[in-house]
Amino acid sequence: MKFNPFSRYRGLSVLILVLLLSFLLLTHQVRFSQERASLPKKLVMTIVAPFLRAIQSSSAFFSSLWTGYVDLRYVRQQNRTLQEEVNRLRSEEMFLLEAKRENERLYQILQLREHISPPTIAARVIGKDPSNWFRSILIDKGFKEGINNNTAVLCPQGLVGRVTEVMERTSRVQLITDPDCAVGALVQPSRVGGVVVGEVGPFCKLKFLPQDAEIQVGDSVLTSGLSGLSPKGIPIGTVSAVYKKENALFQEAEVLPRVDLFSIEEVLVIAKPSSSGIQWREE
Amino acid sequence: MKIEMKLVLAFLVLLAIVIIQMKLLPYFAIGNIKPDLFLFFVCYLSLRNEEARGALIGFGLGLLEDSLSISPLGVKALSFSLVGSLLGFVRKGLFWSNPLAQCLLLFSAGILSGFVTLLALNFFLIPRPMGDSLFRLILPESIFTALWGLLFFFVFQRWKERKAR
Repeated sequence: MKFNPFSRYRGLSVLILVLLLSFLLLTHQVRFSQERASLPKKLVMTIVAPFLRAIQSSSAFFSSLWTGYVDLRYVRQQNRTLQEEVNRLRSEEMFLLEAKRENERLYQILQLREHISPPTIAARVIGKDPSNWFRSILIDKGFKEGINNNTAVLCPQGLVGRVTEVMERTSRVQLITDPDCAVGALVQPSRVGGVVVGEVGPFCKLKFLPQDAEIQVGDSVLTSGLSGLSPKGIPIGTVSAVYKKENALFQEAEVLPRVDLFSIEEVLVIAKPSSSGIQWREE
Repeated sequence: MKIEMKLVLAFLVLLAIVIIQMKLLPYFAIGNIKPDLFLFFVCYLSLRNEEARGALIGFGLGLLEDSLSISPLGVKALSFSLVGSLLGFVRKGLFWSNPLAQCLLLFSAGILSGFVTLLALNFFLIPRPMGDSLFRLILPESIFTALWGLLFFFVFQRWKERKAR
């Protein structure tokens, strides 16, 4: 029998090949960080985004249908006509309730928009990061709608994150809880500056705080505007724990984000990178 | 089955994986950690194929997950191709039709994939703390994937049985 090294070591050769390819891809991206998303990402998102958008817009209908089904499961069927009427009314009520909630959220977004001087773009969240290692969301607006890279993303409660990848009709937003995200911040009562970085868990960490600074649990943390990405004065979160070591150069604090990043549905994107302050109005 | 039909089916399955992972599984997340459906499919398909195909399946699905994530391309492709290749290599010596074995297999694959991902991230991006990553991410993710994987294994098994009939 003829000796064929490739067929004998086929498994190993293919593995080495794909590992090499992965390394090359990684080094290429780390070396040349791109303004816009890379070609494979663009291609995949172009295919996937319409489906995600369609599901997002029909989710209200399905959730009302599901809730209606669960609610009605144990009701006796005494009067069929009446039951159908109740069913229809409930379904309508669910729709109206969902519409009311959406209206309230959009109204809050609109109010926030009026208080921000740089032009802003409202967007809907259409997807979440599939990986647990990263924290990002996908929004339904891209460079066609005027979204730029490295711009701040807000919602009525505070800072959400920053735009990191811009595609034609969609954009990727890196959340403030992502371990690779860093935002210049200051503690509101003491005006001490630091950097808020994401953590593996649901919290953020406020780093590089001077040892002699007075930081208390419950203090508000705002953007400092020094990073040039987000305007000054946007609420980030509240201090939930302070870590002060005697021999360390700096003290650290754990920050609980003000925005519920898990259930966020609509956001406001600042159209151009800006560090000028904004008047934040508390709800 | 015709090649066109196979391609359409593969596209639909991939689309379903993407939609379930991005839209449905976040609702079942505990402490922000959700099961990894991509990893389940890498394991499931690699156990049915030889190591070269396992590596390619892992690379392909990993690349797809990277494309949908904020992560640089190659992080998951690297870890999944290793998992796929390893499972393809050891599959003949494994008895994996038992639910407990399936659970353990998925858990081990999750741990291996998690450590490779951690190494790749620490090497190429901002380093993540080892302890936090292990206890707050790798372990919970592996457990969730293993438990949810059982359900998927069961569904696929039933589907295969019905198809055989």
